[in-house]
Amino acid sequence: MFYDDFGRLLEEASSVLTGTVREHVEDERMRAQLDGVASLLADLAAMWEGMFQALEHENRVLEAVLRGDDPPATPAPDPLARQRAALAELGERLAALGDSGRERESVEAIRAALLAAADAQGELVARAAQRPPPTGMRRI
Amino acid sequence: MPQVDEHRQPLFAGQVSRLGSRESRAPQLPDLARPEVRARLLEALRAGWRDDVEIERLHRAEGGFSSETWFVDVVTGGTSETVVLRRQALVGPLEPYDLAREVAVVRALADSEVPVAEIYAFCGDHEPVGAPFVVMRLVEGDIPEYRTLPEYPPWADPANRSAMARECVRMLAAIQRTDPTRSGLDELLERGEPGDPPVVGRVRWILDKLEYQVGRAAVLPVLRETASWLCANAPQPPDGPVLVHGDYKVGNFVWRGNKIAAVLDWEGAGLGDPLEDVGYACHPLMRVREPGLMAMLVPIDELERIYEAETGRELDRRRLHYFVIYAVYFHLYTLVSSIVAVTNGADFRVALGYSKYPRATVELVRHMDAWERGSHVL
Repeated sequence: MFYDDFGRLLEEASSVLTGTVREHVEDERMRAQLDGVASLLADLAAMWEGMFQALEHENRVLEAVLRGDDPPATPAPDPLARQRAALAELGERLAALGDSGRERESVEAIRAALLAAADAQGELVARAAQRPPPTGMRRI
Repeated sequence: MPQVDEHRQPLFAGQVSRLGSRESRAPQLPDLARPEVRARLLEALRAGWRDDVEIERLHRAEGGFSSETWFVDVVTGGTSETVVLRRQALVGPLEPYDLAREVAVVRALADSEVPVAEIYAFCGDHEPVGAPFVVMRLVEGDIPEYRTLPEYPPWADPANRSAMARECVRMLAAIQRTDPTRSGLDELLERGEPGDPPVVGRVRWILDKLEYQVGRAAVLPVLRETASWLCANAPQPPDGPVLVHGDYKVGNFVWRGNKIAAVLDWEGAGLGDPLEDVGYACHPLMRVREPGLMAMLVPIDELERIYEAETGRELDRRRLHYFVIYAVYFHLYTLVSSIVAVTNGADFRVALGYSKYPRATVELVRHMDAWERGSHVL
């Protein structure tokens, strides 16, 4: 239950800020900051359950474009560390491709991976967008 | 062909000292309404503007995630007036901020075809109120926000939207007719490397700044890919560079009916291609609520007719498409930079821009692919 609890706790934290704390904050700017924090907490709560699977999916997509079916020489143990490593390697691969005379197939494969990763993130963001912002504030 | 990796870091190195620290949060600026701060402000206004000025009331305007805007009721020579005070931000998505440069651009445009707010006083010293500030004449009118434009009553009528689009393009033509040497404007505005299209310098500068802020390994691959693409495909301005506003949108104009009474926010001004501001106004994240309306005003075919009538130039869709892609690149950079700025003490609300990363990534990849296929559907 440990991991599950955090999603509920984030949602509760957002509710406490907007439902209890906010009315005691008189300064307009501070209230706007509080609304921003509460909104982010509510977003995280909404995305929490899908976040681990999305990260894993994104790692698989990025690693596939980097190595095909070959496993990494020294796989990072942690999913976030894996993603940092994959993004850094992808960045270096793009820098090495340069600006001109680029191998079309490589560019297409990398762009397809970037799209697939963005789709996974987009689904998470859509979960957060399904609920109204906690204090009626607009998304920027 | 410009190569994006030939110029790492030097473009940005000279500005590092003006950037918020990566190790510590920026100090909060003092509230101008606090008596001791208000007294220092009054002293600075008397020294730099009018020695008889009195402050009657200060009120901070809503909105704005970077520089603060205040309405200040003052009395000078027995006459009451509300003036606008803008205080430079210390941290934010577009740092390093340089209010002195922006003020110089606005002053260079005074008495030109382009209406700007009259500048009464500028204080470049941090001492009085924590950061440089400028005091300007208040230009009466509406400043609709592009995110809430459909709630702006005149927007509901298509005839008004067409009229607003014509006015935006008419104003753009006036900006582009401005002689870049006017009052030293060309000395203030970056040109990039000699021989390169001006946009290439801006593309590289952004990548340099991000590499400095988040580290080379953490720059989003889509930004690196787009930077390479933008450098490889950058067009030269057909008749030489023109004055570019840099943040050209409905919400940066003071409107009176369907007429623009003043063009605001010149902090992103530069020299560039005539279609750079058009591309910015038309980029897809700027028209999420009405994707078919360029700049949230008119369909592309109507915009094309208006542009050609007002400027006498053909609207080259391939070049426009390039600048739409540059605008999305710029937009995604500001979202990433916002997260950095929040960790340095900037307005927390800008952190919520994280939610646009995936959409911006998708738009960049799809539009680069479409441009390469010769499909210029915006």
